[in-house]
Amino acid sequence: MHNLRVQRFAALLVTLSLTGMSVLQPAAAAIISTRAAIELGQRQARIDHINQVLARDEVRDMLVGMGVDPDDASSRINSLTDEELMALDQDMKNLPASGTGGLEVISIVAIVLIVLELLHVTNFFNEF
Amino acid sequence: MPRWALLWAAMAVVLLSAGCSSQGRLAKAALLEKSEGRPVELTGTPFHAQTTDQCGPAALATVLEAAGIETDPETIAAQVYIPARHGSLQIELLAATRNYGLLPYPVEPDLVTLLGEIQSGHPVLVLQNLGIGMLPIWHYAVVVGYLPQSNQFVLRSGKYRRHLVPALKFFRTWRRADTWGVVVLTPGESLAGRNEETVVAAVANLEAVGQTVAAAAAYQAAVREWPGYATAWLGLGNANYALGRLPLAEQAYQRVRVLDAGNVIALNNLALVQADLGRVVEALETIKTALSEAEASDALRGLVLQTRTEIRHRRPDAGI
Repeated sequence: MHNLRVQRFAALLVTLSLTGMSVLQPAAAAIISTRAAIELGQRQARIDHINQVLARDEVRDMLVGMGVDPDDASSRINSLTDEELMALDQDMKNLPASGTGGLEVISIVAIVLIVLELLHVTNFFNEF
Repeated sequence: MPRWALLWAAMAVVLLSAGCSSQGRLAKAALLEKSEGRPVELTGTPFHAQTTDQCGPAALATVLEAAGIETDPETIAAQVYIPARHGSLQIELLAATRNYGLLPYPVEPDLVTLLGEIQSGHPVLVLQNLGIGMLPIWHYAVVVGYLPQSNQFVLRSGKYRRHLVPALKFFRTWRRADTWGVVVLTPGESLAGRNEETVVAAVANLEAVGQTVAAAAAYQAAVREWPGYATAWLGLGNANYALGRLPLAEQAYQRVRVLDAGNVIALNNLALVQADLGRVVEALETIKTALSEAEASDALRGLVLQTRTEIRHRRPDAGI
């Protein structure tokens, strides 16, 4: 995760040096020229693009790190939209995934569920 | 620990059950009305008994097959299963569906709409939380029927081909998973009864991942259903443009213009089509209109100016 931030920052630096800092430093209080507004828009677009490229690699690496076949991981990220890529990049470890979690929580869950199930709040034991 | 857990569970029960009974009666009445007392069950929907952790691939294979795709959970698992998470993510289920050129459409989060989808022949892939909020147990299943006499939904779920769940109980497990559900639509099929904005956003995702032919067909169905919805026409124009169907793209952009005269994006894209069709002077006129519609602060203005530059380069003598 730390590495990710470093990469992001590096990407930002590269982008800024590409577009030139002058846009961000008006000489005095004045309206921003149309030209600058356009360049600002382009700069944001470039940052977004670079972040997406990074996200693509990161999500692929995360999938592989979580046991997905590398070839499958590559084709899987190709069918994601940019928004979906960003969502996975930010939160892949916490998004809901079907299947049960770690063993340590199972015993607590079981006790709670037995009670809830008896009171007809949940519907777990009918499923498995 | 067990004593603490029991106490906690008892508190949770009190909190969760508050207000449920009146809600339950309302839901039942609405479902009865929608069903007109007649049971509905998509008995032809295939079934795959889930192996360990494989409810995602099993459920997705089920709805894809119901939409006419030949596949099986093993094939799907390679596209959606994450070993370390012991499961599959919603985002990847959507992405895998698009991979087959099909349109995943998120259903509105209520039981009556869910029933409507089943009545129109679409099994609904749902995420459930079979545990509770803080101790979630996520599970994918496919809703294939509703029985008004017993007020139960019929699910393809886990090991059970025909799992009957009381409506309110199902709703609770569904709501604890943010009432997430999708149907798999074949691009071009009728979109009647669905939300136009949700549809067009879903089609735009299909377009964004390069399923352009499928997206064009789905946009076509969208403009048939909602002829007054400018964004659907814009999407149709863009998909057709990407496919090189310039006259069709032009028609679609012109339709946006009729519906929403100040739509800068449509004007910009229309100008590109006109230029591609060799009508550069007309294209530059359209750009002029686009620039007059775009506010000075509009981020789109820069793009329109770029388009103008590009069009001018095609015929340097054509100034405004």
